[in-house]
Amino acid sequence: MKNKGIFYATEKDIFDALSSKKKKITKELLLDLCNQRGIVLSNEEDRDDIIEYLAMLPFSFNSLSEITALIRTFSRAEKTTSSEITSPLSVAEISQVVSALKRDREPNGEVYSVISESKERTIVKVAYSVIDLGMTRLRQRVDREDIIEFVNEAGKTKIRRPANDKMGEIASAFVSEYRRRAEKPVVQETISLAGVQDSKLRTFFFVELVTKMTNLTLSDVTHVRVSILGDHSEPSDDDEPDNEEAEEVMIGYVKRAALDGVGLLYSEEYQDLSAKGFYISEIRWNAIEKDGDKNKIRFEASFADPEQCSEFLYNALGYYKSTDEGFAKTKMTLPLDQKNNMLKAIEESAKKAQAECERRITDTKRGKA
Amino acid sequence: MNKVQWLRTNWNQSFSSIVDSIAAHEYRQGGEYGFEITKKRRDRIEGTYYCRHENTITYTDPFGHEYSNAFINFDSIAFMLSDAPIGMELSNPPATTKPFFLLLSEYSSFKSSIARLNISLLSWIEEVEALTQSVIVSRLLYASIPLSSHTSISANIVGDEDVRQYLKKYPKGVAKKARLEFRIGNEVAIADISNRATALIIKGNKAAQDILKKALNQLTESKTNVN
Repeated sequence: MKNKGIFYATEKDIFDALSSKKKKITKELLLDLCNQRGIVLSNEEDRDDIIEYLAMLPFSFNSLSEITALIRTFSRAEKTTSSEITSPLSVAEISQVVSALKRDREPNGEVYSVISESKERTIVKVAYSVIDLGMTRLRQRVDREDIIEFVNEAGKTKIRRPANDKMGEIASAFVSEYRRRAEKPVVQETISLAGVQDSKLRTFFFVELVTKMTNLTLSDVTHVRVSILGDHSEPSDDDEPDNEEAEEVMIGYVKRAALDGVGLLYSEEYQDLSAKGFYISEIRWNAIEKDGDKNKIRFEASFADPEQCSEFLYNALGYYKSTDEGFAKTKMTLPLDQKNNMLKAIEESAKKAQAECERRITDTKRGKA
Repeated sequence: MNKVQWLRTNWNQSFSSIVDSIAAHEYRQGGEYGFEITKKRRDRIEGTYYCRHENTITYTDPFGHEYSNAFINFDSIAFMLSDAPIGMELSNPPATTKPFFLLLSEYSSFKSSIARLNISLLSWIEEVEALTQSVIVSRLLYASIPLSSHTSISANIVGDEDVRQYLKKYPKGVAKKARLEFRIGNEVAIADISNRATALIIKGNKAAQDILKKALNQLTESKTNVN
């Protein structure tokens, strides 16, 4: 029971599993499962009755695996996040740190492998299980495999990983272990606007990000989430307001708003919110490649903590193929190498935008001084 | 025929700086995009926006040889921009105007807003009547006429006389499109107009367009019947 695995499935587990996904586990599929066992049922039978009947039958490991594969949830394209450490890491160094991680973490059921793709790019594959006790028993444990990329660029190492808790934990453990071994102090840089307390500058970061991408022209902004700076939290019960304050508390306020549409950056609704002090904390946009196939690429970027604007998350969601009449209507998945190029384009643009924000803050301070 | 679209703008920025930005991006041969300016004042600018698209089609013949053809086409948008609330007039706009709007937005540091108008068509026609003579509405698309609390209909009313007289029975409908015939001097102008502030000038000259625009501005100035 060390890894919280389950060793058998009761009839209730099978009933719950088969009932859980109506669209995937259709009546036809249920009848087919019966047919495989030489049981012929009428398609006039009620779906719940077939499930109840099936759940009472014995299931082998393989037939159970078949069901768990059917009900597996594939999460939407996960966002990416990255950080940079200010020294180039060799494959040998990465392998050494991963070996130390293995010792500490493999007892948790994590399996590590290091793949050197080129001199500049090393991949660490991590296989692990995620337990969600809120799901039905057969869906509680999901086996996953994620990768952490180490890319050497301009004397630094970029650590790019999926933005989930587990990978965050592993990446932090990696950096801590590397710091412990390194002879010189190791600085880790991330994209963050936590120090920027000006809503206009926070919005400026996203506008720069989407408009200044190398070899890409902004086509449209189709989604923005806006947030407002300042303490808009609800007062706790301990803070007994006097009458005058109580009146103020009753006034409604908007803390966050999401806008979906086309041409959002020049829409009246967005401009109204922007004028009221709201800043962009999440954005989804399309940009057209200047060279090559001239496809339209769909991107998203946000901060994991929209109030602090920390932990920059991003993704290249796919592309719309360029055609004679414009662009295809269906979004296609980006090939891996192209996706990596697009992620790199976001990272570079975000770094430039952050540097420009910092430059403006410094200029303002100098002006005041 | 000339299709005109009027849009509400809020530049949120000195208009002259937008004029300067546009003037600084003159379209040059082989360029990706740019403007050809025909009239320029501090509070108004007229011209055409050009955007060049270059695409390559690659095909393989039956013998396996690959050929590629590069072809170029241009999007062009004739525009008039001003500092007025209805600050944008587009002539024969193409299906997508997004690159042009994005560029204008960029020139205002992404502070400007551009929005389609939603106006009371019948009020616009009344403003036209105040400016010219013999206005006849010969066609009218009248929508959302309630028949009961759950049912409504749309009607396309066509006649040789002014069809507005038949609307009195159904005061709760919404006029969406209308064909207007009106006189400018001895000339008869015909235009299809819509509640989204567009006009297709079927017969008539620039004077017809100017009257429609003037009527629209007066409607906006009264600040009623406009969303």
